Amino acid sequence: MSSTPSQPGQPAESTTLLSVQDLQVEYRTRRGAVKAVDHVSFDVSKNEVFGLAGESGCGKSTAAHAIIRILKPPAYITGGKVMFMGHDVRQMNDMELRRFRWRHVAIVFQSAMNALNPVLSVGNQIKDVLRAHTNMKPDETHERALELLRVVGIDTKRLGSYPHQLSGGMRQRAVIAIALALNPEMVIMDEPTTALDVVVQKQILQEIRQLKDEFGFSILFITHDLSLLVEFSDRIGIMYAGELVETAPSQEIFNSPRHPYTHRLMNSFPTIWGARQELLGIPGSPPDLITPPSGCRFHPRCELALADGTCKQVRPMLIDVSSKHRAACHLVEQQLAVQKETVP
Amino acid sequence: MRFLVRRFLFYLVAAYVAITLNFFLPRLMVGDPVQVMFSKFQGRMDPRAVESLKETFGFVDAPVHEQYFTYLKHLVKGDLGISLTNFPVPVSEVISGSLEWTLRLVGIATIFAFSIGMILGTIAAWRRGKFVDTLILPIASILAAFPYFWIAMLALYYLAHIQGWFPIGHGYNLRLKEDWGDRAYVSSVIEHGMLPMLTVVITALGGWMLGMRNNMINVLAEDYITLAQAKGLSDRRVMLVYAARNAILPSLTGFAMSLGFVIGGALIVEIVFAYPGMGFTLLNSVNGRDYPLMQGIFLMITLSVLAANFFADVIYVLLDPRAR
Repeated sequence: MSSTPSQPGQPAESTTLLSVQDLQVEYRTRRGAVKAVDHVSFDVSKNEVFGLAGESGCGKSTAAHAIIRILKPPAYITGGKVMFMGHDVRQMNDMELRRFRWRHVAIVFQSAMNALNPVLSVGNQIKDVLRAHTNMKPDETHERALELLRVVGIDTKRLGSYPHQLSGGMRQRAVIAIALALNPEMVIMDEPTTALDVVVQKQILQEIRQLKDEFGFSILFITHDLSLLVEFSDRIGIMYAGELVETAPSQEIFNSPRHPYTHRLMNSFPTIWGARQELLGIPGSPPDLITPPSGCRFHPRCELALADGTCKQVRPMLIDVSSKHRAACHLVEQQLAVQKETVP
Repeated sequence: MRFLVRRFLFYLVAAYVAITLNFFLPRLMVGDPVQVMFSKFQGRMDPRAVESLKETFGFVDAPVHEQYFTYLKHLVKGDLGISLTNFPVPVSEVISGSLEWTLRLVGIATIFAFSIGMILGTIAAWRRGKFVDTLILPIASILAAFPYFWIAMLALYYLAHIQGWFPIGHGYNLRLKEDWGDRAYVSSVIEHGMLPMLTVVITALGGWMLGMRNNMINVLAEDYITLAQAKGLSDRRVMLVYAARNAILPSLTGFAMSLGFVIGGALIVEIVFAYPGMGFTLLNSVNGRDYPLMQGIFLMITLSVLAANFFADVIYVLLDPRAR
């Protein structure tokens, strides 16, 4: 599963912004260590939208939080490397970390409802990040706060409003405004639209796209909604039970998913256009990560699992399906081997 | 602002109801309490005291509504009748005499206990599981579990009686005259107040601290705390403006309630230390069956609880924009 950025299929070194290598995160519980993120590697290039998808509890949020080191006990990073623009995030001390976060990487949280301090006005929550990182004078921070509100489409009169006075969509916009305050190179978006209704969701995603094109930041987008991700992101990584099982450009994931789990996940969503088809869903439930299944973690739920027991015993590695498409599945390995034989 | 006006009107109505109940309750009693008391004193009661009593309770030969209006009229003038045990001093004078002692002792002690409790609770939660927390937590739990009178008597016995570090009782050295211009008097008041205040603060502290620590721990798990930290804000700002300011809100109501009950005096403190405050006066009035005084004190307690609640609303509005 380990990979280095120089492998084929990876973006060239110069454009790589974030490189996560063999990241491991554990939740230390009384019952034992939960391996929430297990040897996960991926890169995000400049100006790219990389989507991370998977069921609840697959470790996608944990991985994202680990990248900017905001995990709280009992979660601990136990291995791997997080390189951001050539800097090793895991080696940073408190001061360096404080400067690194927000100036370079900002995060937008899952629930906008709880991401804002209820007793501080929106304006003050934008200004305090400016004050913490820059030497701006009060009137400059004020100007910048107004500008940010304009950018995300909130009426500037709302500067003095408190979070409870804003609608869900406006709150999420305010959180995005806070994230963009320092023009970061990358914004991690952890289910930014999950709490919103579909219409507002669409609007906000469009606005995020526009903002991204305007300011040129990369996005690490985390969601359980694969259909949304296919539309929104350039590349997608699918996580299952703490592991990255497939990465590919969005269209390729959509048109020809290779991992059985991805395939099932694609079939879990109805399409608005196109033929009516039965939703398949995925039988069974996500495994217990204290004692994960042997071999391929998906094998107990996989109807295609090989009869010879390979899937149960051998852990599959991420292998190149094509130059930009990688999957971790014994079936894919076999198919590729067959292809090689038939096309000598 | 509209919220505060609404609350104020509500408390005004509540106060009126309390005052009215205060008038009607004695009337609902079987028989005439004045006659009962008169017989208890076996005729040794001053006729003027009987008159005063009758007037306080409104047992005069007039229609009820007239009595009621007389009662209200007297109340507005601050006339609560004549105290029986301190005859012929008016109730209002007795109350104002003891009120200042209580306000000073219990009021300051309550504010101190609350403030220190909030600060320690904040720090303990912030450094949860660290040394400070593991040190403060058991001490606070033990203190909060101790019965107050036990600590008070222990302190009185050991620190005042055996060691002689503090005076045994009363609000000031009785050989001095009550004169705030006199340095000796002031220092005597402080000296006499120290031990009772210390015992009140120490026992009340634990509860406030534990409450604040729990609230803080809940708030610290909120997303906006993680976001504030990710924003690169200073620990100080995250702890005070993001965490503590939200965590303190649930404690405010309790604080206001305890401020309201300050007027009732910390009954046990004042009894143990023979401190001349409202609690001590209430005890004396009950022992002496001084109904006018009791009634006056109860009315004061009711009104002060209402006032304290209004005060809590004001603070709430200042600290929590959602209440505005």
